[in-house]
Amino acid sequence: MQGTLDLLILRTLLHGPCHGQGIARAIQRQSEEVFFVDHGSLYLALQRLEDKAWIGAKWGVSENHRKARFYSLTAKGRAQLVDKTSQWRRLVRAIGTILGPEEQEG
Amino acid sequence: MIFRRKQRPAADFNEEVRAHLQLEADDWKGDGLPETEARAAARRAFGNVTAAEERFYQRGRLVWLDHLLQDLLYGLRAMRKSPGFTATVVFTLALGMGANTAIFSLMDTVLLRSLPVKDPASLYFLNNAGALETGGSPPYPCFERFRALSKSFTGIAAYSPNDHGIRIDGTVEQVDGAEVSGNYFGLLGIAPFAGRLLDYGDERLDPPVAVISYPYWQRRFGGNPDAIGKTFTLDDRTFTIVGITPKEFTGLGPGRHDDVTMPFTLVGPNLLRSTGSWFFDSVARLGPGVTAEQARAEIDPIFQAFMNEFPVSADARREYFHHMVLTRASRGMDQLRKRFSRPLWVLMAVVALVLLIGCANITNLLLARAAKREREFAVRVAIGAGRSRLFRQVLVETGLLFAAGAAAGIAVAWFAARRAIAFFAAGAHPILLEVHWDWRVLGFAAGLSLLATLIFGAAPMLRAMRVDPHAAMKDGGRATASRGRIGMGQFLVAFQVALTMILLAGAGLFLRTLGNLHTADAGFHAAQVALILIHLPDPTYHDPALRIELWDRLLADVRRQPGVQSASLSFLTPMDGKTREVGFAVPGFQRHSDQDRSIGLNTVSEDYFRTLGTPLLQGRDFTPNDWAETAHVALLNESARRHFFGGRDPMGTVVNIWGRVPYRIVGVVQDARQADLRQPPVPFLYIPMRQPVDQGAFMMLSIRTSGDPLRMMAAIERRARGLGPDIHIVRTDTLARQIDQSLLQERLISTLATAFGVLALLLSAVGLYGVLAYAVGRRTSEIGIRMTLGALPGQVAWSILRQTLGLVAMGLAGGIAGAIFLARAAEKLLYGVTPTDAVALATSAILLSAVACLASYLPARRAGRIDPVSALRSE
Repeated sequence: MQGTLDLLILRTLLHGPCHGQGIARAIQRQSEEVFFVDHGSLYLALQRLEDKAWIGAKWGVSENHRKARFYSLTAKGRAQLVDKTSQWRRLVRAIGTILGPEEQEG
Repeated sequence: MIFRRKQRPAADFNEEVRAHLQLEADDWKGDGLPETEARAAARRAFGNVTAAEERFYQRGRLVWLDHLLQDLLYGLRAMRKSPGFTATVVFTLALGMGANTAIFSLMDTVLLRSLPVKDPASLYFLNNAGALETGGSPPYPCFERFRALSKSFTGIAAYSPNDHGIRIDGTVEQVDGAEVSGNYFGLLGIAPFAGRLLDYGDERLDPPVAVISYPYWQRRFGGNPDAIGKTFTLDDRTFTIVGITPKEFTGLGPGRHDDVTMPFTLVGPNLLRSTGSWFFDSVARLGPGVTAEQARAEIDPIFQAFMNEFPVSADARREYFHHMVLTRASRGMDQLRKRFSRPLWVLMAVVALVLLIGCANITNLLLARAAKREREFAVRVAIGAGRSRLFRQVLVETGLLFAAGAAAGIAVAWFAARRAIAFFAAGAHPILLEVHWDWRVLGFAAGLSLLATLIFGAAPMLRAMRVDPHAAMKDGGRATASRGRIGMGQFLVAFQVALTMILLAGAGLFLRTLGNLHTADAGFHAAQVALILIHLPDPTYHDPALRIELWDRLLADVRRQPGVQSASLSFLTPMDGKTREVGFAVPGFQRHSDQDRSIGLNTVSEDYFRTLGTPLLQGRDFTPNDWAETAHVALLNESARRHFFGGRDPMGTVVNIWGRVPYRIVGVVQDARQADLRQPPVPFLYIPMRQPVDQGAFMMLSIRTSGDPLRMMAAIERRARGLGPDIHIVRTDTLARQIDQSLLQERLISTLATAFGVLALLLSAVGLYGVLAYAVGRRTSEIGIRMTLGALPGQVAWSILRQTLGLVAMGLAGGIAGAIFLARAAEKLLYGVTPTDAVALATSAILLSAVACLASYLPARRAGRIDPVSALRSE
């Protein structure tokens, strides 16, 4: 769904700066392997967010001493995260109401 | 953010992707996978690396611009790869667009351009008008009433263009000048280039001052600032030059430069007081919020009151002086426009046809090329090129060709316009034009090229679009004649033939017109006559007796020169652009109209008719003995004899000029055309130079020479100057050139129409040849099979030829109909021929058929010579 990946990236970065590969792993792990992110798409999404200045980036060194590009949340990104999260919650609630309680589903 | 962030380079992104793959592989290794499998897993998880990199590259970028650049480069490469095709297209377009742009630039200069003055739209000429014609301004006293009584205008200025002989540094020279009222420059909003311009105070002519034009300043004074403060004399006044008008402003008459502008009062108190002299133009600027109709309604009663106070005959009042009209002055006076608007529109139509013919060729070439490239497009479609992308590429390629053509066309136009300007500027009455290469002209060329691309590139583009990869790959570029269907290319050929027929017929009609005007019995022989217009200026030659004495000496001197067969002086010569009419009465003649009150008058010396080759029909020529002390005598032309005397013998009758000067008729001469070769001769009266009715300060010396008249010119001019002080040679010419000059528009049209007709013929021949040669090339294998099956070479050639002859016949029929239709629209430009003139139509049709046969014979012959074996083997 449009914007889902953006939201997940922003949420992941709330814990602190991270490189692309780390973000991919984190999303996969935290979603209990539901979301499998095509890494190519992830990098394009990162670039899109960087272009919007919701996240910043700079080259650094990873925990296992590899060169990596680290992303971090900007103030603008933080505000967007709050905004998008509440939007998302409203949406989920609305869809949940429409679909009704789980057990009635055939 | 104030500054745009620097674009992240693609290399940086690619590096990040590599770093990611490394980290990912590290993770997998940590999970216990071996090195190679870890790497493969990392790649798998990433997806398509190249696609991601490409998407990064395209992100935020003007992709279409990228594609456009690619298409442009591709198009340029394609142009380079087929130089013959490119050269043909660009050359054809250069000629077609060049001709169009050149004629448009002339139209723009002559017909469309506004005067370089402040707010030209609110300027109007105040003209008197009647049933017959619209004239200039009413007499000066009426003009003064307009000024005093009307409230519609912010100002009204008087303007009178006149040529003068002015004396600078001891020699008298001819200048084009104008007399203007003090408010003229202010009203037009003209600021001086240097010095100052004229104002009301200068109308006192104390001291007399003048301003000169920028071109004259450059030409006569070499652009030296000392020109301001220099003096010249005109008659008995010494003028000081006080300023220079700006470069772009040269007066109110397009094509004429007011080199010297002087105060209006110079025309003299008699003219300013005269209530019957209609000699100048008045230009006025409407006040804010006033419409032309309101202003007219205000000045017309003033004019009517004036006309009631100083009446003219009822006929003249109705025909010339009936009411006032306001004529737009934004583009200046309209003589040039009146004279050239029809010819220029005709030429514009002609060049448009030439461009159409050229474009039809190009369409055919593009179609042929598109057919040849079918496989290329098919391959591209098959490997995934989008059709829109393909379309764009063809559009760019076509646009590139037309743009190159337009650029070359502008260069052609620049040269062509310079030639045309020289054509106008030649002769004794040069028309000075300046083409402005500004956005209007360049925009015209660009718009034309765009339009042509869209119209003539569309069919080939659509054809490229329709390509079906499956069929195109299967069919190895073979083709057979499609029966029963006239292809686009064939239709275009017929269309070209029709247009060419129109142009050739038009050229024929215009050439016949010019020929008719040249050979028409004009009543004189123009060849080998030198003309020198001489002016004996005041105050040196104020005494009439002194002038006549000098004219006598001049004639005697010239007649003594070797190579001179005869020499004479006259006020008028044929087609010199001047006319002169006087009030005239014949005893016993019953008048029918105002026209019967006047007659054309020419003051001539003895031998005038011999020099011009006009035969004396009856009586005697003048002699030097017809002078002040003897009885006044006169000659009539045949028209005057017929009109005023009918069957009676005019000899010995005494006629009156202005009801007071009596002349006895002593002879009749043959009619000669005087002012216009197209008009039948009008009644004329000739009186001897030594028995004049007026000043006679200007006389044209005509000399019939036994050799080239131009070679004698300098010697005679020198002798004329040597006869006395201050002798002013106004201009020198030959009679033949003077006639040519009067036929300027006819020559312009027939020259250009012929040139464009030949060009069209050439283009059509190329088009016909191209279409056939292409068809034969495509059908080589089919023809091979036919010949294997027993078709004879002659039969094959004929089958090709037969096709084209049908097309040519169709085109000819359409072209003849079109030519007659269009010639009717231009009938006013013709003389002595009708739009259905059989000679012009038949000659053009035969010429065109001959060329078409030749152009189609060559490919047809080649078809007949195809060797069936090699044709089939080349599969």
